[in-house]
Amino acid sequence: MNSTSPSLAISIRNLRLNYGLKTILQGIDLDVPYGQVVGYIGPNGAGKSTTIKTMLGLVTTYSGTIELFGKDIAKGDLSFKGRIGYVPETAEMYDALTVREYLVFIAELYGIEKARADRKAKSLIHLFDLDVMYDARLSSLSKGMRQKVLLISSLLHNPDLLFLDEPLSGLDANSVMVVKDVLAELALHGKTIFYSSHIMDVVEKISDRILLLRSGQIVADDTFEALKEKLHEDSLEQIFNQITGFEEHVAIAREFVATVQEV
Amino acid sequence: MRDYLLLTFLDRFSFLFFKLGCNYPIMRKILQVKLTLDARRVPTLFQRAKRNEKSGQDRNYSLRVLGMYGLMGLFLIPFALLQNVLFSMSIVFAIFMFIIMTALIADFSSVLLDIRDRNILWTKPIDKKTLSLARVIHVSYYISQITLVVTTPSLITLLIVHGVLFFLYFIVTLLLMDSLIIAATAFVYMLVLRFFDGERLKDVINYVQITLSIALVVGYQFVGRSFSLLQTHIVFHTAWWQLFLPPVWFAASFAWLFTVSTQPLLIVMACLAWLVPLIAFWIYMALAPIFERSLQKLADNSGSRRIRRHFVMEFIAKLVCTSPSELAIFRFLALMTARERDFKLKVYPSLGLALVLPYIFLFNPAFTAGVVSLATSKLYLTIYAGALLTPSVLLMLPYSNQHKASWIYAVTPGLTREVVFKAMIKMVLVRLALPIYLIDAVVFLGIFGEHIIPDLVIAFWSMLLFTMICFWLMPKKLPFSEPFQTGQQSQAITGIFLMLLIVVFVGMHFLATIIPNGRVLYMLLLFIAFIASFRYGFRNV
Repeated sequence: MNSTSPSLAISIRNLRLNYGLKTILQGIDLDVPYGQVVGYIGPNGAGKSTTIKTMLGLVTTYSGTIELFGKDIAKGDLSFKGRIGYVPETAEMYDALTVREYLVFIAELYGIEKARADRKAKSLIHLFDLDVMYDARLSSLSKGMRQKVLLISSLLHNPDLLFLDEPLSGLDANSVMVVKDVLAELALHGKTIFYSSHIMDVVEKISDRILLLRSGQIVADDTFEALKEKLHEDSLEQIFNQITGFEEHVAIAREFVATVQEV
Repeated sequence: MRDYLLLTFLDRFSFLFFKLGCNYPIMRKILQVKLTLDARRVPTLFQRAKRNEKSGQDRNYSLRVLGMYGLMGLFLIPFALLQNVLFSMSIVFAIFMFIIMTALIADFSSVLLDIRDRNILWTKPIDKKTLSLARVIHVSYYISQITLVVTTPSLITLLIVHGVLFFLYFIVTLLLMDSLIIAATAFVYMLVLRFFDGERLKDVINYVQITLSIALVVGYQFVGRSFSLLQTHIVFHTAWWQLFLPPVWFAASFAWLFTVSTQPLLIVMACLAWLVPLIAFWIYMALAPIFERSLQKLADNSGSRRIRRHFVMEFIAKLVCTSPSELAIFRFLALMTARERDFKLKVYPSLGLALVLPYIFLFNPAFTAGVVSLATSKLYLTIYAGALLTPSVLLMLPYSNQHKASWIYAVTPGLTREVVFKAMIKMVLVRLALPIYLIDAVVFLGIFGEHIIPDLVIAFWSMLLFTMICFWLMPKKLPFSEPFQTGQQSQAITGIFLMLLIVVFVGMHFLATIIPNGRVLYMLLLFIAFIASFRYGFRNV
């Protein structure tokens, strides 16, 4: 394969993936240098979550190469996972555990010693204003609270690369603000962040680079400024609509209401 | 989280795990979390028990479950005492395998099929060996726990009756049996996932859970009778078709080793007992990666299922419902009762019970006096046992895990409680009570002859009237509108009272058969009573 640069956190060549007859990813090429914040957007079912899962080694039936930190992940060395933090799209956790138990367990899986893990988890929980829930079961948490716990669990081991799949879902406006700033701060400390979201104005503000995925292909890859320039649009939302070829929203809306009024 | 006994036990062998190339401290952590999750899980057998979700408290449900399985083990003792070794061991192993396999599927599937593991554990820097070893130990631990409590009573019995050698060999076969069960369960899952999607697998698991509950209740009915088997002399011959019955393999190995018989078929089966479990387990280990991959299917919510249309049901629905909104509610409830797994888990066992209970009542007299003598008796009245399901269905209908979705009743104008309840009663009768009644009626016609047709008609109207009475006496809550936790205990009393009411119906029917022309009069009376009850029964509900 071509030479790997040590300055790249992610390097993907010709990534393809099929589920049975369905093609999910059709040839993705991507280089992400350290310290970049990448916003990964695209319509539902475009393959965003699948790309992230594949990079994490959860999906192994792909063709092409994926290199993280300059090493091919298919080579069997799992140490790369220790440098990654992951927030899955479906907020899955072991619900019968308490917040403390869960966070300490996750930290221990990364090799962090128990007392230290507890201390760290507790301070982070405190910063997210969840102290009262620290010893409550995860099942009793609201959607936003769970998202916060999930975010903390992905950061306990101070990872270098973050894969965040819809990290903002369920959070209130203030929490979104905090998380946004946390991501910016992490990027300042050299962390690479790869995240997907449907909240366009957030993606617009905090991404160094925006990737747009449509039916398994990257169809746009640039900074927000450059995309604006190129496509003569003012907002990411409009850019999203234009690139995904979605112009008929007015027509659809009209027909929708017409159907509603039939009765 | 507690430090479990298993973990301290494993600590002694940590060097072994290191040698296998597994990260022992991490595996220990995973097992500790898994055991904690198990302890906080409410298993199938105690689904009805009130849930208590206090933080961090482990209300070890698994211990209580083990107690239940231990009780089942006690009931097996008479079978272990039968004279014929081949027969007795066949029965014992068949029951063992049934209990352990259904337990594994019913209560442990959530563990075997936990797809959360993928997102939570697989994304961490943990090697596959450690992960799969943790899973194998977890499953083996669970299955050996059940095996231990189910088999101990029989084990002790056999130790006393047959001696130490028999006892030791029995333990060896139990290990073989467990390997076979683990492998077989995994194969079943793999097969289902190969051809169907995850939803279908969840359905399969649901039906196994239901079967387990029915088998438990029916099984208890036979326990008392099992002792009478002790006296009967049973001749049990080997036959070629037994080659396909794993319990007979195990029994054959006993017969070959501990009795004088040396039939070739026996030896073949004994060899199967030793080889097949080992081979099956080896294949299972080899296929484990494929198994893990097929689990991915559980995570994909792929596509919609094919909807079968029930033309008959649709026809009847249109026939019995008088308004469009009533028809809509009827269809909605019919779909919900057919799909909601929690509802099915709680109600279908009583449905199955209602189906078999009349025959259980018939079993004893038929056994002692012969089937022919039944025809002239009045035992057809046992068909009323089928109506027992109505109270339990009506008692469970108000509950759902998605009770919050019941806002639809509130926002739909014109949808009065009267309409909902009418549709509900009609649905319960048409979808659940009638089919069971019809099956029982046909069989009873075969057993007792045509002269019981008037009685069957009386039973039919009684069943309808009984349903209405149940409805009146129960607190009237809209279907699927309450969470499962709230006050189910207090209703158990109502349920028992209503079941006693059946006895009153049976008594009246019996009286009607004595009085001349009683049956015709009673039939008319029931008919009028039911029509009136349905006409006026839904006012101001």
